[in-house]
Amino acid sequence: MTVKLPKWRAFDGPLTEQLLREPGSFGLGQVPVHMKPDATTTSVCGYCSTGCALNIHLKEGEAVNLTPEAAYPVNLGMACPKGWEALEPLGASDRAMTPMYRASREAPLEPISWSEAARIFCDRMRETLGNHGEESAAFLSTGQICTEEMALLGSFAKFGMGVRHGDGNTRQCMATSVVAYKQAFGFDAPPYTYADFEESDVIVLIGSNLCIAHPIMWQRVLQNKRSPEIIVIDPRTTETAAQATSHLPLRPKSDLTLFYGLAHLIIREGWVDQAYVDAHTTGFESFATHVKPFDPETVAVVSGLSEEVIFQLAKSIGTKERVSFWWTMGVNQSYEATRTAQAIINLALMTGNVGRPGTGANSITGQCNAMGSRLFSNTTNLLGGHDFANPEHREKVARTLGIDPARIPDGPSKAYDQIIDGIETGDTRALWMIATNGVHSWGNRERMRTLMAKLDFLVVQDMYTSTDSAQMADLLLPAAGWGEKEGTFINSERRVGVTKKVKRAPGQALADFHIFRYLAKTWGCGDWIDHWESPEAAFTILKELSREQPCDITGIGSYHDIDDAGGRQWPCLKGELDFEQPERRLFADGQFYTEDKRAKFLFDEVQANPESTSESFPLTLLTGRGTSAQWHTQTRTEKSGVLCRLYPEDAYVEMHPSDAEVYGLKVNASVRVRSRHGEVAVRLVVTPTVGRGQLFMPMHYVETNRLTNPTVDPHSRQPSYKACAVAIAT
Amino acid sequence: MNQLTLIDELLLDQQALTAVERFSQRHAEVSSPIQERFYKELIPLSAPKPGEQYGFEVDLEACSGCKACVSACNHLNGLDPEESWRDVGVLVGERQGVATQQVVTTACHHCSDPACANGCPTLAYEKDAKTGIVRHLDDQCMGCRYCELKCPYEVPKYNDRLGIVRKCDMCQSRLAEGEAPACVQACPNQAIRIRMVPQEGPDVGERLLPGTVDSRYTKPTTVYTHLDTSANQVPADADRLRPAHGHFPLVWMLVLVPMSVGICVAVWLGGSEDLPALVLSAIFGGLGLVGSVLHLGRPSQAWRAFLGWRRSWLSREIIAFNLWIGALTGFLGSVWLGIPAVITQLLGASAAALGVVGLIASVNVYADTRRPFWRLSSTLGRFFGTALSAGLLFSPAPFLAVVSIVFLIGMELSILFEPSETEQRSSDLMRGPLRFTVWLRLLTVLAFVGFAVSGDSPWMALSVLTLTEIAARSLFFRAVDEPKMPGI
Repeated sequence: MTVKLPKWRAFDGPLTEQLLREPGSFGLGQVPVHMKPDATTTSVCGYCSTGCALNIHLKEGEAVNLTPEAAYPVNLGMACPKGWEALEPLGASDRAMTPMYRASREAPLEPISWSEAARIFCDRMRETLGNHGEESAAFLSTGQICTEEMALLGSFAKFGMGVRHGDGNTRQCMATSVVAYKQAFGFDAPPYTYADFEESDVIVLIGSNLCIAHPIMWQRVLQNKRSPEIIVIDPRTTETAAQATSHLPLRPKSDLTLFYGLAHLIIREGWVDQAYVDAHTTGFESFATHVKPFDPETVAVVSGLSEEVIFQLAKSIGTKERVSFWWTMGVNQSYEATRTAQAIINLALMTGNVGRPGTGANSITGQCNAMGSRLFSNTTNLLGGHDFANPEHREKVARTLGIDPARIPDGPSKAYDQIIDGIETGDTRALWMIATNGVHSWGNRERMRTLMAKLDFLVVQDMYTSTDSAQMADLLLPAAGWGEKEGTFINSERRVGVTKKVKRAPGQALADFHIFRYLAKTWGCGDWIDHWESPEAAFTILKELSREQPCDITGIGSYHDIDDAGGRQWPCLKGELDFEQPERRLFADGQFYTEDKRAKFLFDEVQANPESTSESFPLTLLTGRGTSAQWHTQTRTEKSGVLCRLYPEDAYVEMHPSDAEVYGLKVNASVRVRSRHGEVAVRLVVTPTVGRGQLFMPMHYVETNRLTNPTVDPHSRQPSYKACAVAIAT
Repeated sequence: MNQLTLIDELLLDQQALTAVERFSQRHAEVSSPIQERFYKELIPLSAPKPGEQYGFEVDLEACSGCKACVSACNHLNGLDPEESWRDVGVLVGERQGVATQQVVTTACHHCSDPACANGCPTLAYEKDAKTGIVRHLDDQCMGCRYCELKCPYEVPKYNDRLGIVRKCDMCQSRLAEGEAPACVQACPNQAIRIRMVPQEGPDVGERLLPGTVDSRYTKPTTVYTHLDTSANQVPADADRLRPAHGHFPLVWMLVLVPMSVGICVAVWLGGSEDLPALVLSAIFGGLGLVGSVLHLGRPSQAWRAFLGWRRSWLSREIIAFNLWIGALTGFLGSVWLGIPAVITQLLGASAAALGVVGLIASVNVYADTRRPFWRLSSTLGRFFGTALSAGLLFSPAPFLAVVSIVFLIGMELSILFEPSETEQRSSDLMRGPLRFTVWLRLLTVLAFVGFAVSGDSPWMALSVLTLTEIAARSLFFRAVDEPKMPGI
């Protein structure tokens, strides 16, 4: 018998082995031994609209780890921390594992079977619709589920159940861009491809904190070899502003005035691309008249920027070869957002910065599938970017789906805010919320909670039992999450990508697609629903719906083809595409989707902020993303231990040091922030990155939307989260 | 057999994983890392030459704060769910009214003179002679967490599941094969790279970054480039008051052991006759040392603790107190059994001497971390003050213990109300989040003074002394200004 003596110094042993790495094959380089894959597969990430491909490491078919895919035209081997952590939230302890129901508001949620859940859903929805009509029940969907799922939901709810109204959380992020593009270009068509970041001479980022909201798009900016001028227009010194070549800290909501002022200068200095304007646009003359009063002196006063700075910006836009404009929520979430977005489009049109490499008026989308929702959610638009009001469109969709055209309503749904307001008036009585946490994310949160409690029937379909919305549900349907189901997402540059099932959902949680199918079968919709037997079968229907639309994807092939191609951008017609070319942009030929094929100049009077500051509410509260590690209401990101290390745990408000001194407020002290809608106590962070007279709160904490303003833009009905009058005190 | 219902089919389908069969296997034939195209220029082409070592270089201008490096470190190294060896912080400043900010990513600096290794009692750190990488030997670690106190950059991180610390090894196995470390691979902006630096450390100036400690302490090898020095930047969390870890077993030990030593010395000086006091000293000593063992994540490895005696004050402290507890037991036995006075006095002398040596080592354990709040003079005052107060209670003039405790309180109040620049944060902590402990300390001191002066209840005096010293020692740990990298 040999006795093994312990070594004086243990260079190896069981603990050391836990961290050993070895070559992982599949082109991965070294990987941790205990997570070494036996196969890999790519899947498009389910957080933001960048649409990065993640390379999922599989062991016996199930995901054990992931790395960003190195050979994908979007993310070039990189991902943000949310992408890296994409698998973590699936294992959380508060996953919804079984359907749950409460018979009365006071009773706790009790587990029930799926067949009971479906029966309750159908009975109570039928009861509401029967007693109160087709407008009494509505659904609130999301930009977070697959396109096939959205289309099935929209079809089942509207054509099967006969529900008239449905909207999505995309109303909160993208409605403005949709309306702006539809009115100006004739179709909701963001024209760019990410290569445009690399091809620009001037990159103008407006209300967009690309570095942390879309870090991988910033990676593309850094690939630009033309030494571009990077101009950030944002009231705050964001991470992106700190990286830019110039930062214009304009006053909150002075953006529309600034853009009209830039147009004024471009006209005055003779920098208009008249040939382009004449050949491809309408309405320029009256636009030129409209911007006459926006002289630099006036604009400087309103925006707080110097005339010199405004002139230099106009000069860059007016004289550089390739100028691209990129905007996000700073523009979209405003009371006059649509006209602001169109003011950006106008600048691109009048300088001929459309359709060429490195140009464009480009809206950067928010959620992973907001673009899918815009085309296929069947809410504002009829499936496939069609128009509910157009009888030919209704006929085409009915034919494609195999339904009676009379089942299709002849107008769009109410918008999110109208559905919610309808609860107050008794018009909305039953609500079905899918993969969104409206009780947290909608403005004026306290009112939202009161209204939810007023509903006859609230159904929440979610991955988690713990969300603010799930907690208020009468019926909770447990959903599988990203990674536990398959389908397609459409990213910001119109790229259709495949997301795959690489994990088993916990308990009886089901993919949203399966839930919709089961409910539809239980409801008894008719035979047409049988064509939607799998996500890929549904995708075939979607392709057919897109035929002869600007978003035509009839040539896109199967999931397998899309996966092999590294995603494909719409339009994608059969035989039309040179698939060697991985990137495509729109309007290279100057032909738009309007009837006369011309883009429109659209503009309006500048409005005063309905939430203006006053003596009682002297400060302007801005909201936005906190860090790259946080996503929306944090139902998923808060489940990752690594992500939780990357942002402050408690809600906070940022204030300029001089203001803190004026108000006599101490760093890290608890302060009370009050608006016309509510009051919260949060920690004070003092930082010069916030302008004087302004405060900033990240949207991820529930406190924030107790304060925000429920005003919406009249065209897009998108809420104005970005400027709300508040007061602060100890 | 019954036909499956639709819901059964759906639930079955939900559990079926078919991605491998249904889609092409990518890169199945590729053995070399595809990611290499993005990082090959970010790592040296060859191994370090003599006199050189690897060092991180971080371009502060290129880093945009996406924090992918933190997640990548976790996933490419197979760490526990909340574990990562990279952290991210922010520097903010203002230049002529214009705000600036720079994001700082940080991991182990693989120092030329690594404080972690110098302090480790078990020799669980190894600075690789060829690469300069400071490796942690996980199987050698007993989980004493002293390296966390020694490192001024918050690098070693304690893992509760394993009871050891773990840290960045610069992905040495990757570098050895020409692959980049995880963080270097994952940065979309190529802000992190590996460079050759002189083994004695590159010239990083007085401090690595605003708010960090004097670099001469450990000679870090990370180089931060493009630091914006024009804007007076400070760490974004500079004003955030967060009490440090309480380390209760150490509080326990550092109260009971000095009290035990003090009483032991008093008994010896008093002629080695006070058996009850000596029994008490032994009980305190024993309980104190048990507390210190409970503090370890892997007590079974504690036998290795003597290995680091050449450099580690903690190792020396452990050796001294082990000998001391033996001598103390011998002393107690000899008094108890009435062994000839010469031998008893000799044993008493050695117990007293070893106790004092142990306490000197204890003082140096903390002074050696270079934290101003734990500087040699004040730590010496605190630990010996505890010993003295307890000892004096067993002297012919017990009320003198009051003098000793008043001296301690005087020192504490001066830090509280008239802190030096380096003690400001400790003062803020004590006046802010730790104020309740400060009140406890003050009230129990008053009670102690009462009992000690009245002299009619020595056991109450001793109990209250124990309590007040626990409060004081708790403040010693929690109010320390921990040196760190910029945070969020």
